[in-house]
Amino acid sequence: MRSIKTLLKIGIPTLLIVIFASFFVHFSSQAATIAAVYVYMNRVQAGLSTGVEYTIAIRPVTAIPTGGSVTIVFPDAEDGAWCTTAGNLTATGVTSSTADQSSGNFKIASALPGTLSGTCTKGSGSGSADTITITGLTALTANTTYGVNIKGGTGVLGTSAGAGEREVTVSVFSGATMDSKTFKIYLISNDSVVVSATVSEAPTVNCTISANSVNLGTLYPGGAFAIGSHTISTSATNGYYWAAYGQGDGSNDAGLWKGTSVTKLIPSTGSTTVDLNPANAEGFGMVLTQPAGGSVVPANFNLNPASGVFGALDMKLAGARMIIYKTSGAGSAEVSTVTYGAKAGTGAPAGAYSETVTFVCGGYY
Amino acid sequence: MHIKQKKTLYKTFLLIFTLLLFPITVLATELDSPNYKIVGVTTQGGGIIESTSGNYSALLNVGSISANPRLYSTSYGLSTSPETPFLPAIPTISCFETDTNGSSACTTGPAALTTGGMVAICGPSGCYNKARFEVSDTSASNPADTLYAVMISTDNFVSDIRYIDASTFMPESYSTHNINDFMTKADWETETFNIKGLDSNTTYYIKAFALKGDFTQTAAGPIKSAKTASGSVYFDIDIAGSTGYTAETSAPYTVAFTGAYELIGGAAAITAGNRIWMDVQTNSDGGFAIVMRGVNGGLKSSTTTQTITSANANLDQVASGFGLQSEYIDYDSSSSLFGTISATADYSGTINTVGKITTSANKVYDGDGPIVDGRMALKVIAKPGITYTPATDYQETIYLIFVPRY
Repeated sequence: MRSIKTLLKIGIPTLLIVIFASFFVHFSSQAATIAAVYVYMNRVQAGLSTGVEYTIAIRPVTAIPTGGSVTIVFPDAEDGAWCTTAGNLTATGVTSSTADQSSGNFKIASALPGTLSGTCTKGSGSGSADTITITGLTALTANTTYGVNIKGGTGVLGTSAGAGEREVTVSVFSGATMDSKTFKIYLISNDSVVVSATVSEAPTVNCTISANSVNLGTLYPGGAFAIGSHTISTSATNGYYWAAYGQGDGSNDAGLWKGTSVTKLIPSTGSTTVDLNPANAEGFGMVLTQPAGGSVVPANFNLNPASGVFGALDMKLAGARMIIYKTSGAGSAEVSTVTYGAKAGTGAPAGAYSETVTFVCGGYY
Repeated sequence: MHIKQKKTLYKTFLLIFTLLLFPITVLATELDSPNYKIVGVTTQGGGIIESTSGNYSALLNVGSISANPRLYSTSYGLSTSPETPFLPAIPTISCFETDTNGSSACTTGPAALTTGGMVAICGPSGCYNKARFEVSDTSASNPADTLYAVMISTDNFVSDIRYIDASTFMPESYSTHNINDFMTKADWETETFNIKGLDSNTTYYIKAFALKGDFTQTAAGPIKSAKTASGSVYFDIDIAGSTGYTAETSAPYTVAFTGAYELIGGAAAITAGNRIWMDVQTNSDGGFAIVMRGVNGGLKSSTTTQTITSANANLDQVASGFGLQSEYIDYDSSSSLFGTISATADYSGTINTVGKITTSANKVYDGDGPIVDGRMALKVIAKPGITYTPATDYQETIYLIFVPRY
């Protein structure tokens, strides 16, 4: 009887211990894999010694009881590179991040809850890695994506040297409940692009016509040609051009037009030149002088007025003819003399004749 | 206590330990029956070796018996228990893959997998968090409605013993494993990745059970193992002209509005000759984001202290401005399981419509899955207007941040 009592005293507790131990053998917790996670760094350049910030999105698959922590463990062989100075960090829950997907698991749905505090600890040799730890979490719901921003003071958070992949492990846990995931981030040698620009002055062009009317005097039918002139002057930052066109009778050609009865056009015939030298010649044209410095007067207008040959004008804007141009800057005004030449034919009726020549001046930019 | 009592006590203690800590031993003894005994039978479930003698099988293996009872003798069948003839064949796993590249033993998955291996559907280096298995359809002739369950372990079933949940396809504790985790071969294999939630760079072991009717679960089939890949990421910046599709350049990275691209006061918007090219590659499920921010929020001159401010704008409709516009996106689309790359709305403009470069971060590109051979180019466009003092030191520094999402 006494042996039975002894048996019960020892046997039953032993049985209970074994059952209890068996419970742990069969129901020990299993770490789960985090459903979604990203580490968004404000810089991804290798070898930084300060100024790195993190925004972490983390979606546990397991409900994490209150009092939990989040850790980011960096490569073991890079002690002191990620936590350049061990110390406290500022951890702030965030409800969104620029790196979020528009929807789904990788979109932060809720700020990491709790009174958060962070620390950065340096690793020390094999088996001890630089680690960021955030504590003070309240309970996390399974399958909710939480966000947290982590900042350090000057010289606290950095990156290791050398471009390439880095394996990091993010864990969230409380007691025996833990979700984690190991994945890779990438550091590049230089994460910046410098855009430089030269802003230059807006180019200008100044165009001047010395007179708006030129009197050719009296043309005698069948007589000599008459001339009259004015100047145009130009200064420009990057070059300039002048073009000109006439009005004539408004329908047939440019030239000196007598609009009263009996009407008569002394035309600026053709598109090249008008030769006023022949005895029976009749016509109207213009020539320009070519100033020094690189300006160009097209051949049809680059003539000596004394020669009696003048460049022909065409009618209206569509008939504008380039009369002088320059493709480089003209710092000071460059002056060209415009000379008109006209000759009346023997049949030209008496009266007042006129032509309105329109000049167009522009700059090259 | 007397010595006899102590002995009794020790025996009791040992008996309790034996009974509770080694239940497998207890189960093994259940093969014996008061009415019969099979000499030498073992419970090495899933074993494939069959020892035969003449027309009889003296040492039997559960897998072989259930596979085809006629095999154990040309003339006779010897059942180990009455239900044995009704058991389905013990299943074998024909493929369990994570990082195969260029070929695959899997036959019922998408074409990209069967011809290119797991790398062809998971991206560079393969799958880091998921796998695919298929039940062999040649080792047995189980009916199509035979159900299968899968056990998974990281230590070859020493202490880590879990099952695959047939709804989430993730490992689950055996305490939550139930009849709903049995599915037909077709149902398992309809899911391309029928094992999910795995750890990266970890070897997993799986084995399967079959079930065809009540009380007919077989022993486990042979074990298959596969190692998950590590994460794989790559990011690179290059500066080249508009046709620099394959150009590779080294830091420092600069884009200049000078010479023919000089910003002329009052002139129309100008696009810099060089583009900001980027290479991206990752096997991350969630793809990636490329986030960008500037230092000044525009082109700033330290001599004039003026800044050509950056904003989302059509530069043809504003007096001045500065920004980025996506010009080129390319990636490997050979697999429907690879992700795609897209520019965010602000940076997807045309002609002279640009997205802002501000001191706060802005997302420029999004990838929505594993990306292979991703290549993008950004144009830099500026318009100086007429209010900025000429200077040669207008400048902005842009940080480009690559964020893979796992």
